[in-house]
Amino acid sequence: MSDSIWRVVWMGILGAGLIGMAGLLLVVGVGSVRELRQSLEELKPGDDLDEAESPVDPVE
Amino acid sequence: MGLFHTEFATIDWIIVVVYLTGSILIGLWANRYVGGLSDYLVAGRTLRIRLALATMTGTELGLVTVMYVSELGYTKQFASLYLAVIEVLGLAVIGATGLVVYRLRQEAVLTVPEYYQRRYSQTVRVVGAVMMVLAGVLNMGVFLKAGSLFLVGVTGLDDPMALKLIMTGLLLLVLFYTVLGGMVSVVITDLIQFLVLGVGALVVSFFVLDELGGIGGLWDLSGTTYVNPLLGDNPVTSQEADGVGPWMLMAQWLTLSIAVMLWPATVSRTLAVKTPTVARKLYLFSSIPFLARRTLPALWGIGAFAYFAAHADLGSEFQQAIDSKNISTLSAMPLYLAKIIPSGLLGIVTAAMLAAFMSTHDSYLLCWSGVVAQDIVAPLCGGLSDRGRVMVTRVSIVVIGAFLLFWGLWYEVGQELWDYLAITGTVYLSGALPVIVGGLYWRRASSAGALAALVCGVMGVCGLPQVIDAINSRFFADPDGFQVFPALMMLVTMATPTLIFIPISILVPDRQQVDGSDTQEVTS
Repeated sequence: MSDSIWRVVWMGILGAGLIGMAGLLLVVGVGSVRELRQSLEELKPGDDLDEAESPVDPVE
Repeated sequence: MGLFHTEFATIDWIIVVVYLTGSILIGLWANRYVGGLSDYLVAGRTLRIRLALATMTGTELGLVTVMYVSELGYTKQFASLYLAVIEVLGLAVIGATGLVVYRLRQEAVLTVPEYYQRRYSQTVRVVGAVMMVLAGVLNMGVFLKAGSLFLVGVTGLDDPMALKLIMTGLLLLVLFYTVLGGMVSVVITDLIQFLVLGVGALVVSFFVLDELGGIGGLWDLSGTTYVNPLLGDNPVTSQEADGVGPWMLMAQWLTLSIAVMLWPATVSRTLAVKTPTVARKLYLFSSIPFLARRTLPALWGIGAFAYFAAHADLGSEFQQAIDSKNISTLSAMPLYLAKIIPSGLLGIVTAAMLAAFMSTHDSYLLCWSGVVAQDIVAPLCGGLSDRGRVMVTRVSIVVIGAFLLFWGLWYEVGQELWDYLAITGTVYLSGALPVIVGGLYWRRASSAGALAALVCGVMGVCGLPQVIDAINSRFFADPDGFQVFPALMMLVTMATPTLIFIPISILVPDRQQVDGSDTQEVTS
């Protein structure tokens, strides 16, 4: 593989990294705040019994 | 302008302090959501895909990653990007097929060693846990050092005592909110850190690109630097064998492919998601942030290389500092950023990097401490109450933190940081590979084979340069004849546990297998 091909590959990968990070911030950023709220709602004390409440190891 | 000149000013310190104070408050607030053990260790398995992705990015785009990737960008320029290709391909294959991670999440375990007991025996669980914690804590031992080198470079703070105090304070901060809030706290802070870090990384990349003369400048630069990783010699330096080459490429491909699948901190996030399908999707989508973590810091390292090459006086001062062992190539990127990012923005970038530092530390601390409580102390004590396990986890976080402080501040990394991480990681990964994959997919995998493979993982330390030198001087003294080299040793140590696991599993099967009453049904 000649150096020119490597250069094109690396430029493409650097570009994909930059665009990927920007896209991730846009797409995941907003949605994840909403999901965090949902998770915290589910974790509110008293909502349900914890599956690991038993005093002994469940796999023993 | 001297080598340690920086744009970091009072406003930058204010930004950093405000950010860190916010982290303390979040840790305190998250504590109210921790009800039981699974809340503490895996956030009650409530994570959905976006949140899991944000927190996975927060963990895996740590400051230590930024430091070692930028160091590789500085020393090997564009050729260092081969690691990005390997990692992204590995994640995409796992995400598309669900290989290992789907079945592992189906097991509904809290930790990987818990799976060892379910599939093999309690002894395998305890031995596997010990190996995991040993490798993980050693691996993590240099994180603090990398963080301190970043702060020195960016802030220009050259008083060793002040630096140690700052790093101690940072570690205490992480310990504080991780001990209090467990995974709930980790997830919340990771989300904030993901947002701060993501914006910070893009801002830095913009300045670096601008300083390089835009895309055109970057393209021109690629024509005069190291681009072909198949070459063992880096053409821009005069030293021999300081490039990548086919052997190292193969060794890194093997190590990294296994690491993305089985590294405990990543797997712990997989175990915290809602369903096995989300676990699979998490891997598929994680290829984007993993690509970013391997490319953006590499770009900054490449920028640093070009900067020191263009400013001959600074380049020569930097080389002299490296030769006199005052600093290492790890410092190239922070020293560079301190000169090209304006005051104010530099504070935000530093806060982003400290966010990266903390988000990795909190997840790793929780991961290893959870393993100590769940898989070493609890089985050896014949079972512990839920409350007792949370207590042991919290104590372990503090003990591991104390070790990190001690190890991180005095241990000198004798090779490139990534090589150190890969070698210490091999201690766990080489043994875990056959034990987990064999357990999930091969009915004849036995406890004896698993134990042999896990213990054999210790061979991973043979990849350290000091051990390779000792082997060569003892067995291969002729410098013109055959000599062991790091990539070969990495391949041998990675493959040996698997090669031992298979025959021992066949020769020493578990009792259920001999009786023909195997109840360890492999899940579909």
